[in-house]
Amino acid sequence: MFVLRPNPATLLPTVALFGVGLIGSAISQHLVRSAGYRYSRFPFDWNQPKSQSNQMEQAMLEIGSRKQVVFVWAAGSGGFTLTSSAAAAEQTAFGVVLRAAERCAQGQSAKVPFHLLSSAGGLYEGQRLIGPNTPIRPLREYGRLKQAQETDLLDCSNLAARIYRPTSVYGLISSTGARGLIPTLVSNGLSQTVTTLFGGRQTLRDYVPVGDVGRFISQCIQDPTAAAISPMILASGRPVTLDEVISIVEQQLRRRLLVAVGPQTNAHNITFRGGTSPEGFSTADMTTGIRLVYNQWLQQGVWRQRFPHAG
Amino acid sequence: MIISVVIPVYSGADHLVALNEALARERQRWQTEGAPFELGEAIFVDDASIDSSSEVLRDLDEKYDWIRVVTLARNFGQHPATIAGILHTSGDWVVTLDEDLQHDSAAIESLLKIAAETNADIVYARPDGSVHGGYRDVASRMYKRLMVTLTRKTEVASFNSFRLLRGSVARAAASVSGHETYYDIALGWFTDRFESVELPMTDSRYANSAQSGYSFTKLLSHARRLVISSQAKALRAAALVGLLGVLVAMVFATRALLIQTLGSSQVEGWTSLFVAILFFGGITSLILAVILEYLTNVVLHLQGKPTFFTIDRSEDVILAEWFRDRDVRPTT
Repeated sequence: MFVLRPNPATLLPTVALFGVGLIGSAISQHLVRSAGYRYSRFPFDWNQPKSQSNQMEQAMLEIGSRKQVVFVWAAGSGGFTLTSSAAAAEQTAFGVVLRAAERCAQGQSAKVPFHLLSSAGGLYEGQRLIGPNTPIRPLREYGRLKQAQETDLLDCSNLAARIYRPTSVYGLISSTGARGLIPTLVSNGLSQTVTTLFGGRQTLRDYVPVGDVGRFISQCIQDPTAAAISPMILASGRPVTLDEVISIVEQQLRRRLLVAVGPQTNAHNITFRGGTSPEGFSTADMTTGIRLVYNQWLQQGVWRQRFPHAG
Repeated sequence: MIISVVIPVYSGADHLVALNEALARERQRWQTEGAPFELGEAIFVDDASIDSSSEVLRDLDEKYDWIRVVTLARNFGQHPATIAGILHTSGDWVVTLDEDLQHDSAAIESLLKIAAETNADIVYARPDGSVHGGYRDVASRMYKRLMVTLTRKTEVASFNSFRLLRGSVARAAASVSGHETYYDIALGWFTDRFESVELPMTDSRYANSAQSGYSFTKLLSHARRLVISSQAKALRAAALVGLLGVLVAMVFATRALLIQTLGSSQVEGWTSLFVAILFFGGITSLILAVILEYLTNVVLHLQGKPTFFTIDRSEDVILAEWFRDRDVRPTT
């Protein structure tokens, strides 16, 4: 976990961030670059439930002197392929953090903000033209886990729940290399290796760049006036087929991609109505987003690290 | 099954509310009848409209959650606006129609019925009588005949902006369409299952004001894009002319040679020069046509003409079952 401390001269809250994967990294990057936060890393062993409470206590002692603390849960591994045992482990860890947040709220007049990164894909899989009133209908373990986390959070009366349901988020993290479909297509396109697709080429999805999601959430975190609000869907509202994604990546790379079609384990359409996302959330179009991933890929030297013999 | 309707808008402020009401009626009727399809969304593409269309659309967008407005940065034209709209759809079927009430939204069912019965991927509405009236109808028919001849694609005669498209085909063709691609030709890269159905249509805008959205210059531009997008069949005609020139030159050369060597009379004038010009002119035409054919293939490859395209028509049986014994008649 990361603890992000603001500049002492400001009134900004301290942020306890759990999970520094794709979205967690983007949030912390925005807080550091745009708001002058400084981060320190604390151990939080995802696979050892017994040590989680102690580790949490240590972190809370460190944070304790600060009045304002904001909790952000951006953890989660496995995505759509999450197994039931992994889901149970994640739910246990989430419970530990939730209890710590509740303890933090005790004795405070205001509710403690808790930002939860849920998943629109997991909750609405297989549905189209999703709007704010569309019922949740998870089809897999991953979606059911996210639903359970949302319910648990909303049950905590002394926490101000802010739930985000981002759609298919894409982007790149320098520390881990490629993540998700689009960076994988860029990476494999550059190295001319075959990408196996687990969805139909006409499968419709709604892609949002991780930078836009990170910026929006980091702004929400810094807003001291924000109260608990209903879950926010973070979508572009523009459905895109896999074929179109491939076509845009090919245009950016100026070369054909090698694509094979695997078992259709992830072929449900998930699309959203326009205007579903909250005010203040805007996304770059696909071409710009993919160009950003490509440029980032080249700038960060990931490509050179992976292919040291290339010219 | 979700149906998405796409309407490019340029100067339709007077018709938009009526069009929306007509769509809302159909939507409601399908819901009431328990049809296996629903009008999931109507996407109005504001193509930098020149009247108060933007304001009208904004009101509609606020009032109905199934209406969506996509605003283009400048006036791109009807084809690009339609493509932009299609690329925002999620439907299993996509219907495109004009803003000016020329196309009756009650006829969408007729198009759907034909698609279900024939497993077609594209169904065009074909006017069953006069659309504009007078010489414009004749000109329109002649234009289409000329285009069929030039492109050698019979479906060109049915091309109409009132069409029903299978969603996957519509989006695939839209995603590979460049600014010079004729969208209906691009559809043919993905499917050859075209159908058409006769429907009553009247260009009310033309009837009322004698002004059409299509000027002569626009029509010419359309024709150019259509021929260019059609894998340039004209190129093959040029190659054939070149080949014919070479053959004629060879026949004349042989004849001249025979007369000169075996015959009694002399070949007079600039025979050899003309034969040489004909021969090399023909060869040049042939080589140019071959080069251009290569170029066409490269351009089509770059544009994204697919090697293959997979499709799922399994849900057509549900539609066919619904339409069986159901009398679907378009209204005027």
